[in-house]
Amino acid sequence: MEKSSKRTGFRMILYTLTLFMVVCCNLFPGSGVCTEAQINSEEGHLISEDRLQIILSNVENNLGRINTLKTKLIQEKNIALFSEPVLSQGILLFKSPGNIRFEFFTPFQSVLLVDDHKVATFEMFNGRWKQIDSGSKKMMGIILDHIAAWVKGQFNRDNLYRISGRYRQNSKRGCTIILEPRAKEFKNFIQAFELGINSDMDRLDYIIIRESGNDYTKISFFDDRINIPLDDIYFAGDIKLLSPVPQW
Amino acid sequence: MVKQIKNESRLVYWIIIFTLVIASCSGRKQLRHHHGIQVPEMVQELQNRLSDLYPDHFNVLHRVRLNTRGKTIVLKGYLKVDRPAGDVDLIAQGEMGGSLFEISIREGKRDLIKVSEPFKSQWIEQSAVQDLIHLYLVPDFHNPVAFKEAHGLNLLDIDEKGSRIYIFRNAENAGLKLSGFCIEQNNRKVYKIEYAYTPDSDLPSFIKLENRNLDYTLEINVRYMVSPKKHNKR
Repeated sequence: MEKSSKRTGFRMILYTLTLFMVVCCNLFPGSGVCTEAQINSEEGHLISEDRLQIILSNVENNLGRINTLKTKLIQEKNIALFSEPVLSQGILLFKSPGNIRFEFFTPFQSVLLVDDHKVATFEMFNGRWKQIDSGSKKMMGIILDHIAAWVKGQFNRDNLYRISGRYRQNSKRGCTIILEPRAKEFKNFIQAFELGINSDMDRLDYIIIRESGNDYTKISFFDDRINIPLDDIYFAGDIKLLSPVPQW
Repeated sequence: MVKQIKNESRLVYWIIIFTLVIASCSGRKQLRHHHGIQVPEMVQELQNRLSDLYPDHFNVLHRVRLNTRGKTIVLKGYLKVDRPAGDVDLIAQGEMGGSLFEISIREGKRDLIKVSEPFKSQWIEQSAVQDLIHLYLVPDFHNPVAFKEAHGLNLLDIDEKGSRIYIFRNAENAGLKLSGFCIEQNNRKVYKIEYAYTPDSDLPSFIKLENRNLDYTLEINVRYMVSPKKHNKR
């Protein structure tokens, strides 16, 4: 029973953090898609501990200025089974203090909404939106808590990760913050999160989620709009009110 | 003594006759259940359509809504299919990633299963493995019979597990398409698959699967990663 609840706990954390990373990375959009070769070529010199703290502090300050955001994204899932990555396209909308819409258009349509501490997820099945049970209220609470922290640029509030950083090979392109889970059980699922931060330290260009083996997912952000008016209707977690977001 | 032997022989004779009659009647009963006119000349054509339903080699993405015993679980499936070899590989992940179970089928038989909670190996073997075989591998036939119906054709095959029925329907401007599959046991539908297509594709884009014995349904959004060079059957 205890073992089971421990596993459930880790799964909740994993779920939370993955969701959290996915959502928060959208708060800092930037470049387009990169190939694996480009990812590897971006690894440069290790950032010193002192410098890393300055970068994290700057990022936190800069993120605090974002009231609304909408950005396009491309997710590239690299799975050992396939020789080619699976590409997904979508958008992310954020409105302070905690409204989020995370939506994919291809290859499958799905929407995750956070509205006034309520999380709702929807999937399109055979031409109809269907609401998906995203888990218990406790899990939702954890998700919201983490989202709130990430929105504020607090990447490691609960000390869940060992943080390091590397400059990208061309330092003008910014740096990569690497978060490695401290807990062994967590690391069995996720080896590391890598956040590509631009040179102005006010955008997240991409996020890489390194899973077990060589599998990884890269989400790249581009064509963003910051601090523009966003209607609350886009965050309404009601299947009947699910409003399409106009393209830009 | 001779008379007694004769009587016993007659008894055995009538028992055999009776058994044969019963056996033939039960077979006819199953066939009679599927109304329609037999069209023997279409058997090979329908078998060909089943083997040509998919390319020989392709990758598939699944977005699955699994409903079982009042619970709904959303899964992502990544599949690699080699039909001529009878091979299927599946990695099933949760909504936010992380492997839940992995299956390798080789030459039409389960080769490997890795399962994480809340799933159990036995359940995966009875459900997902069989589903993959029914969905993506070329079926074996014992003695198939084709029937013509008002809206299309059915291909029926009976074996020890029951009756397997492949349902073909006339699609607008697209000829016959596989629209369903079911397994009947004791005149009861225990397993059912329905296929839906988008107008621009010959490959199913949505699949609904129901297993009444194991009490689950799957709603599957399907997207294919097919190399145009390899998809040359059609």
